Amino acid sequence: MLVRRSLDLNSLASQISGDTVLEGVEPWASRVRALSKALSLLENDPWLATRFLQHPALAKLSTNARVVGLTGLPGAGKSTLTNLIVGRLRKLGKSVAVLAVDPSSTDTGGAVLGDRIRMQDHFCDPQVYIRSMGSRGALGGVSRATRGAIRLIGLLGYDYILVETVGIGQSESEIVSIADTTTLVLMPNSGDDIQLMKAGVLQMADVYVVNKCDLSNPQRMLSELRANSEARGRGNEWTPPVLATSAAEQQGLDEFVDALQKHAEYEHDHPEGRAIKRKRVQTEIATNLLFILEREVQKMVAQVPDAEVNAVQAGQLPAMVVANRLFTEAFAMVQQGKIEKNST
Amino acid sequence: MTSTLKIGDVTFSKIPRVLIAKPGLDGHDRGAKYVAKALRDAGMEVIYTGIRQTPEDIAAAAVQEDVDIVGLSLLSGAHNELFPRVVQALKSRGGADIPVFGGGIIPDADFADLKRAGICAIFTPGARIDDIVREIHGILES
Repeated sequence: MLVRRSLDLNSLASQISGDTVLEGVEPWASRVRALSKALSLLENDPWLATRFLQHPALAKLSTNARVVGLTGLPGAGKSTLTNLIVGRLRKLGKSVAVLAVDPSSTDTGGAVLGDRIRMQDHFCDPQVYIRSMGSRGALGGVSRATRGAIRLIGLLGYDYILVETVGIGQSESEIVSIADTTTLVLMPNSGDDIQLMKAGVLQMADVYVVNKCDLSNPQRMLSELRANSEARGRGNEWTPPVLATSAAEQQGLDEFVDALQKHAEYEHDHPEGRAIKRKRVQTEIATNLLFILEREVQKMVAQVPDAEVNAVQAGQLPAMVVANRLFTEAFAMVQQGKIEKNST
Repeated sequence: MTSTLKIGDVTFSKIPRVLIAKPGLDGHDRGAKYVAKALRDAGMEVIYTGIRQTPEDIAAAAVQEDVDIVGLSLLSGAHNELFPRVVQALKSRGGADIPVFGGGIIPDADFADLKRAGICAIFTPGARIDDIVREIHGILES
């Protein structure tokens, strides 16, 4: 189901930056309100949002937020841990935003976004911003709008942005290319040593948390994860800490926050860490470029002559030949300068 | 590059977002969850705050989530007090444009005052879920 909405992007941008304030509303609340509306624009119309993000009122702002991803199995306790980590970070005087992604229905687009219910402690704290997002068909554990949302939220100066992914299995590792620190939340019985040998997000996290340690003995899980982790931390490489937590008994939380800070220091202090950050930024540029290209590609494909489509359908022509022709032609046009900048 | 951008008033299509909330001291959330699931199945993104929320909690959540409508469920009898306070709290956070509907055990005699206080629709026991979804859809499109 879709509804139409109107927005004045100039006012919205100047409200986000705080240059103008909604009438009868506190200045900070006004900025938060505008941010919320802008995030909806981002989720629903990424093209308009791309232009909006370049608005002069926003371009003068910058973000220095530390982005922490929390990913893991459904029910591992990501939301509850997020809630507790928000509390710890607030005690350290840090402002925190949370982006909580939950799955959308592929049939209707509808969703029940239920992560926020675990974060009731912080609803009225003006230095905590919580936003739920539907995954809207994206399969990487986050939504397409997540990157842009981090950017926008960061413009309000939050110190930390916690991104809680959809409950994931093994291969949904997009968060690794988004977050500065990715935390994988597991449970004492999440699997044996063979599970932990598998490729995917299990090999990529920066911090491992075995949560719900009050429910069963985590020792085997912890020692297997630590063996994996120590094998990764050769030389100056980061050795991902493996932590035991219990959200119910509030254990291991200080260690968790400490690990997040240590990882930030590592990225800052070591050339290896800075190289990782640089690679992540390059990935972000590439992802955005692919997003722009995808729309151009769809336009090109819509213009392929029926005869050619029919030939592919009849098995007479490989789809790769058509694709290659389209690419060659488009590339030639770009080189001749026929596609103008900002043609969108 | 930015100088060539022409942006001002725009319109766009969005998936509607709804906040379902339970203000005050009332733990009976079966109705709220039932409505939440029906709105999900109608293609909306539904955020549920859980039970025992203050009007300020609910308004903060509604604004941060940029919902298009807020639904309040209350079976304790405190609707005359709490529903208008949610409307006021929304206003003070810049959410005066967010409509609020209510549901629960609400006597007919209270309808007029609640409407005056800014509650756009009221659903009571026996309301058909299809009718609830249709009416909310209508409010969202208006």
